[in-house]
Amino acid sequence: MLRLTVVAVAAALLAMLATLEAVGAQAFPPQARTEQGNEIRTLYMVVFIVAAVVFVAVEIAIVYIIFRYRRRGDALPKQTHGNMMAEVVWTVTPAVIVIALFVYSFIILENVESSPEAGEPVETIDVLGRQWTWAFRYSAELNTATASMLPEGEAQSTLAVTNPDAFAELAPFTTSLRIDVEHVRLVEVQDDSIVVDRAIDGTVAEEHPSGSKIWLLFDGTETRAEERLGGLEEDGVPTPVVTVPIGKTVRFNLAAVDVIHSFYTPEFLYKLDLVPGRVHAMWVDLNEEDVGPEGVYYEGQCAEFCGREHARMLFTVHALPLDAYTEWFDTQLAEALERLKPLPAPAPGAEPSGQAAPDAGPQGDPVRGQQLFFINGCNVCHGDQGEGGIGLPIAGTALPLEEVISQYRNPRDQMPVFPPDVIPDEDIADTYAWLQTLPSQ
Amino acid sequence: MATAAPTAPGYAGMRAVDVIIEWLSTTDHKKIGLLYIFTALGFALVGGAFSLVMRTELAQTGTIIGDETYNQLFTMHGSIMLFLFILPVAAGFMNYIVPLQIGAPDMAFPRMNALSYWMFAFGGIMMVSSFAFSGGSASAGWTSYPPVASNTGANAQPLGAGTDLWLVGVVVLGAASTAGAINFLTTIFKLRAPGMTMFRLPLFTWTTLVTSFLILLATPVLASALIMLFVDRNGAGGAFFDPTGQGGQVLLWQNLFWFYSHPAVYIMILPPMGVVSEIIPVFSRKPLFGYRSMVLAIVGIGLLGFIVWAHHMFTTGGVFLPFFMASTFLIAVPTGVKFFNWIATMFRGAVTLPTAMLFAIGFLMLFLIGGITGVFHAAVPVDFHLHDTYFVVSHLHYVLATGAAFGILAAVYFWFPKMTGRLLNEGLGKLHFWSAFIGANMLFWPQLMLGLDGMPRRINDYAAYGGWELMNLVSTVGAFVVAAGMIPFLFNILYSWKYGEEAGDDPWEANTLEWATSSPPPAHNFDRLIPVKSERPLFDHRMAESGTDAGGASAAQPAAPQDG
Repeated sequence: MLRLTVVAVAAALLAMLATLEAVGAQAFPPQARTEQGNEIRTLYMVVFIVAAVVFVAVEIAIVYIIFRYRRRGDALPKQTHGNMMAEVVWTVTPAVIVIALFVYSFIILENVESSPEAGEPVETIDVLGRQWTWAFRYSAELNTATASMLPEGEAQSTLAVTNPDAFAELAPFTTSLRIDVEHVRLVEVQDDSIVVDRAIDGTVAEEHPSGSKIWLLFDGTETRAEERLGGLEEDGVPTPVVTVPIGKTVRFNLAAVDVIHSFYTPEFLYKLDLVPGRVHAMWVDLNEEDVGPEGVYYEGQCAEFCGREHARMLFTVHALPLDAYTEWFDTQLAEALERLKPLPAPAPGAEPSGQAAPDAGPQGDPVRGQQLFFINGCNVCHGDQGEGGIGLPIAGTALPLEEVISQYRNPRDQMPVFPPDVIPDEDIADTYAWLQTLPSQ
Repeated sequence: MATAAPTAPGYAGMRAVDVIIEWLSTTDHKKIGLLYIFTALGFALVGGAFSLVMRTELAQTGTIIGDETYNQLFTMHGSIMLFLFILPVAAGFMNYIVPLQIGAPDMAFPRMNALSYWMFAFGGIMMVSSFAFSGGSASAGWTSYPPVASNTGANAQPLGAGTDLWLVGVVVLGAASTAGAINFLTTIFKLRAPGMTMFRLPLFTWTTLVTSFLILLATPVLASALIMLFVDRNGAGGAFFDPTGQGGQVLLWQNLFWFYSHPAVYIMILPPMGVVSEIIPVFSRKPLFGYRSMVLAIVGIGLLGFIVWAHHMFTTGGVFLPFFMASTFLIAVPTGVKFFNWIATMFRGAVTLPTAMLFAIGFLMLFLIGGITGVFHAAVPVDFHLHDTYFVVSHLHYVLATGAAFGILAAVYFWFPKMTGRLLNEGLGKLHFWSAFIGANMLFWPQLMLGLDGMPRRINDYAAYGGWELMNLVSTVGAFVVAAGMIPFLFNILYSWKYGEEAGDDPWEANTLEWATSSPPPAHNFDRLIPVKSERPLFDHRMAESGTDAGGASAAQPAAPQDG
């Protein structure tokens, strides 16, 4: 009887597994592409084996007992109330098993979350989540550091720097910098100090000691048109791509602009939430070998429900071998430096400063408009030169001003709403004027 | 067994309007219990229909309904199934059964009992009515995380009045359930029959007791969180969960919410565990194995249930992981003890398999999957992969649908004869069981695979490659198999209520006091109480009546030492 039950249950399980295998279902997580993912997958396998043994044993016991001890008459079975020894055994045994699993999980957790030793090269990539897309920022070394303490919580700060010349070729307002994990905007370069707007892009204004390294931050979000969802191509919204190196530790700094998102690449077997008001670090070591210079793609998407179009908040990881990555990075940096050069004032008579023009007039003030374009974060989606990216290209737009204003107020597609108390009509007119100075795409 | 007189509820000659007024104004715990059960089953049909729409949407790629409709559906499916089905249907059975099991004439506070029911009914209607308002129902998930659920800060899609109705509705439901908990605690502590010591309480009453403590301690925390979010949303100067510069903390909500909602999982699963602990001994003709260790396991689950809440937040980056990993692993131990005790109860018993027992065994076989998949989530690094994927969707449905809901269905088949005086049809019952058992596995097992492969939850569309289509299709077919099985079930209830085979007082040869009165019981429950000398008073009574030779096996044994 017992043998029959074991055979029957085993056959049922095998049939189920074979069916699943035949239809291409995964009984295990995908092959991991990172060292951290390999650790997690190993732990999964250990838990799986324990779970499978318990599952099969208990199910067999239940089925066997039901058949073996069916009622066969009116005789009352022996009225057993318990057995101290058995109860102690089946309390202590599971306790030992879960304690062992806890210890092993704890060790894996330490490995997964560990940061590399000081001095080991690290590629820092800043991930910004917003409803319902992603932006990826890269950091280039600037030969300078802070020479004064930067306090927490300030909206705008003046900051002494060791080498003000490092900022000579960078335009105020369009240039973003990174100090530790905080993003700041370069507002003004003075003799031996700079003025910065604090904590743009959803990062937090923290305290930074004197001597903190200052990095040039530039947008490296690429896009890839693909048909991952039905109807996606009709929306004209391509998937943002984050480019990462294979063979060098990557530190993702995760920050959210609006609501909670989660950065999830199934083939990393790893996700971490982007929580407004916090910046989280996620360490990843990609280790796939035999990848050509064109690299490989892994699909990812937001895993924390974030509102209406959560299902469409996709991204793609483009993993490149280290030398191909370095080449890609240098190209991106060169393009960024070109973009970030201080522009000669394009409109007659306007001063390149943060002050509002006294009377912008119906034409608007393009210099102020350019600054507002960055202050309001338009560049995050539409690109630093309005060339498009996550959002549509808008440089030299053919739309009349009225329609542009109505797009701010009642957006089509995925653009967030900007009511008049956030961006007044005059500001839109200024930005519109600047966009008109740019070559149409 | 004594045959009960025909048990028509005595409405002959009453005008229909008087019958309705009688039910609307009743303070009888049995009628209130039935009101709870039927109202909750009604809500369950609504919540279940929503899941069919969602499964239809997910059967293949591309979209049929819009994003916002889908978000409203999964939000209200979760909210209805948890707040308006499982919690109140359990409260219905507790209402009906607990006073009978302890030999009491009614609940301690009959009017407050009625108040609890009506607050539940109106809170539920308030929550569901939100579909009629502009902007539709709440759509931030049943967990309602800010900032998605708040309209402060940079949220690009502030939600409408439906979210406020949801918040107020849940506060009202919480008040109903707190009042109910006070009532159950008072009833169990003060109204037990002579001889009914704490360690002779039936297991279902024990789970009611522990559940009531959990409700009493956890619900106020949820209520305060709901009110804080309501204040945040309605511009009353609050910024409790708004991170934009006013000192608010986004993650505070999750801590407060799960401080209630994790114990709430045990509030939902303990009563069905109690049901199963009643049914298995009856249909094995043996006492429950390890009565005291069962009680200790229930209490242990209740206590540990309060220190595992942050395992819902492992990927938020704001949790001390080792502590919550350890406590979550540990809670597997008392659950394991219960499993071994249930199996040991059947071991060397005389097992019969009416539908009530089939659902109890279905509970064992499938809740086991819910428990084991929970261990994967407890291992934090594995949870980094599985959190917020279909793996966790499957896990929670194996716990709540094939766990809690199977336990509830077992309770329906077990206690229906007591409530109506008639038996449910066994043929229809078995049809129901097998469609539920097979359908649920078709529905939820493929979701484990989808989750392992990285399919996130709460999405209405997915990639057209990668092997997700077939698993989703199988899952959808399973949902419709489960739904089809509801048809014989509902028909069975309506038909058997009137035309079912007469049950008599004690059709199952059961052990506890509710079977020692007529079916259905009179308004005051008992004409005469049998003595209570163990946790199986009716068994003792049967033995005493039929002499000592009722069972040869047991007669050969000296009287087993009774617990308590």
